[in-house]
Amino acid sequence: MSKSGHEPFDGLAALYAAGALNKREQVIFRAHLEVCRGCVQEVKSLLQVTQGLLQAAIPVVPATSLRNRVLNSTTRTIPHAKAPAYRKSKIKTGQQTAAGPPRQRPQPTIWIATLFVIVTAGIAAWYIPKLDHQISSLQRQLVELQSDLDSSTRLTQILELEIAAADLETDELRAVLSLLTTQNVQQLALTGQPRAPRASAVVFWTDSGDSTLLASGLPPLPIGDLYQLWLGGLDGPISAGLMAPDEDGYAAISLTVPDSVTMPVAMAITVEPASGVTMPTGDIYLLGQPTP
Amino acid sequence: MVDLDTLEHVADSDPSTLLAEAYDRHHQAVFSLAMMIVQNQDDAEAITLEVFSRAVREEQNRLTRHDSLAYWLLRTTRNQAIDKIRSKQPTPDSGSQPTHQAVVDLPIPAADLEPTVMLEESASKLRAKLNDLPQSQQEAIRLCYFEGLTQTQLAERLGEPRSIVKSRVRSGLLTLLETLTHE
Repeated sequence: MSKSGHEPFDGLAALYAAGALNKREQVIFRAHLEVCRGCVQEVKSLLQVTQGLLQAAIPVVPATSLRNRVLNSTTRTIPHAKAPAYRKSKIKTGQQTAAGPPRQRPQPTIWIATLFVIVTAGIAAWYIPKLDHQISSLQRQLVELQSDLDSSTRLTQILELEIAAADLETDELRAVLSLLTTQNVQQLALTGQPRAPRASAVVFWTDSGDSTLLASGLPPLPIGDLYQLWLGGLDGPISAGLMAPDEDGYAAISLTVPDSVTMPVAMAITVEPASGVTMPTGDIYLLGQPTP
Repeated sequence: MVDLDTLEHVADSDPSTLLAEAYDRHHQAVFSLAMMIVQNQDDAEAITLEVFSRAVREEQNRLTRHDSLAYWLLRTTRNQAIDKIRSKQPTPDSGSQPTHQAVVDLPIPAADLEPTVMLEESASKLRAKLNDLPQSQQEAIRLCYFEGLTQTQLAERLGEPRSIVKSRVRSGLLTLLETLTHE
């Protein structure tokens, strides 16, 4: 987990699995999961643990009265239970068979009744095994359909998750997601300098000019100042944007990259007056350069 | 996976029956988890009641899928329990944070990682291993997993850099993972 550009995400798989990332961090990390197989594997492994932890409480038996409270309380909220339609139909048919002939037909003679019983028994002896076979076949089909339904339900859950994540995104984060799924994205890491030893950042650099920076661990700014990102070019540093971190020290911005810059030789973040400056004047908080 | 017996069972059962069976199967796990987090019987009972009510209101299609239902019930119990303890905290831990923040939900496993109900023996081993972890790792895991603190809140609570608390959570979880994989 120490490859270039990965530092901001190091160790986040465990926090993600443990539910210790805030919603914004979750969105950023999920975007990272789209492109990092190592983190996906780690999350998968650690989810086994965190799922297990939910079941690792010391067993405690609740009061027996709780069962009635739960069932009584929830019964009021569920629709009135109905017997399945096919059962009603079955019962009705049965009643007709048992009670129908005496009521609906004129009084039969004994020989007609006897003949009727014999014919009915014969049909039943032939038809019941066939019916059993059909029922078994239908049950198998039901299992297959239920299995398909399970898969669909899982897919639905995944889609719901995606929708929930999308709802949380800011425009900047949407841009990051979009960026991460495009081709030819290069990740450039910036590391914290003595003024911000815990800070780190990664720039998702594209040739199309839609580059984005994600930073974490940024110290709070003095009032009236902002962080300013600089691209080091042959003609000196060029400003690529201003940003303010949130209360957790995170910041994400889309870079303003002049057409003349195809790939900076270095990048730096300094603290400058909020109006921005044309040349860096403050201390360098983060510094990085493309990996050759 | 649903088998023939279950299908017949579904056809024969109404939601009340399914709920009763789900309760009988899962109530102890739900109540125990709630007790572990809130440490109060009345609150744990209220949480159990609310969790099963929600299952009926929102998740009826899960009532016959025991593994999936178990994870949903426990995840919801955790969130409800953390909500409960937060609602009882009269003052915020840090000046800039609101008193009552929404609980960050646990990740929902992907389709190829369907949660499974753990046997009591495995749960017991995991519990023992959690208690055997170094105190610092144990505390970090408990605070984020059972009190719902984010990494930033965790670092503030423990007075340690985020990199340290991150490392403690990760090391602790990896040790617990060994317990599960070496069974």
